[in-house]
Amino acid sequence: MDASTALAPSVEPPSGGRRNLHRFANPGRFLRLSGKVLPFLAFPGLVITLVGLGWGLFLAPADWQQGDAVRIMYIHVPSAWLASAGYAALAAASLASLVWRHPLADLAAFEIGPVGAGATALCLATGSLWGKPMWGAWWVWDARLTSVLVLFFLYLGHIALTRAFDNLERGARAGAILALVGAVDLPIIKFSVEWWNTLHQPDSITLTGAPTMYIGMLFPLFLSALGMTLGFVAICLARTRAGVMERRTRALMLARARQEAGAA
Amino acid sequence: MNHLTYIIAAYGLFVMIAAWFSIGAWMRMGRARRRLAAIDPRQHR
Repeated sequence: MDASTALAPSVEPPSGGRRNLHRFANPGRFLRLSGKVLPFLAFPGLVITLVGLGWGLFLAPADWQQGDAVRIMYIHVPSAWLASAGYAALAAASLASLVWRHPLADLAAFEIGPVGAGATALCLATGSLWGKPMWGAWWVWDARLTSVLVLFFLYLGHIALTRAFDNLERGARAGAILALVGAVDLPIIKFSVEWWNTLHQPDSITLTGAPTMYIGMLFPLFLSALGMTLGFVAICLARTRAGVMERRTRALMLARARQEAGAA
Repeated sequence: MNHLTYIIAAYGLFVMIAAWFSIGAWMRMGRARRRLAAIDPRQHR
């Protein structure tokens, strides 16, 4: 598949479950649907993030040990969640790209990469800003910190690899393999605080147990995480929309150039 | 508020990164829409 055929609707209709998946490979349908969904992600995302961060910054109580530095948590924890969730989405898109050759999955992976790298950079930077007053160091080679740094390099590798080829499909294929292999880092990040003796604290919120955090801190944290997640999805969707239109433009220009060359 | 410098730096960084990606995506979408509309006037998205 080259740029001229990228994102063209399937000629042969796929059967069964593939039909549902490939419905969204039609660029026109994707643009219509995403155009309707985007405002419902972007505006609530912005408002909820502002409420969550404002609550966390001005209304939530300071920690009895950490003081006001704990307010960095309202950015650090959601960005850490988005770093991992973004990479999981990247790996899922890569799987769809490799297994089902879904053209929008290629593009989604291409566009999620930089946003996920931004979330990971924010997580590392805010962690460092939190660590300095609490631990007395900007950085320690702790298992949690190191595994998140590896995640950041995986994102950078994916960005570089997908953009390193003239042929978009080859770049997408190489990036997809890296994304799937790199997904092994996600459980390492999650369980690093349990498997190793780390300076980083263990998780305060788990799926199985009650949160070990004061409810007055939990609510703004939940709102920040929800708002930032909506914002993250909105940004990825907007970038994917732009990518679809850019590739469509390129394909039309190529077709026009070929037509003119044939006529001459 | 203690550790104010660190808190301001963290929130400032968030605002910068979020604005960079949001405004970038919004502008890129508008540019792509205009270019597509120019080359293919049937596209009214």
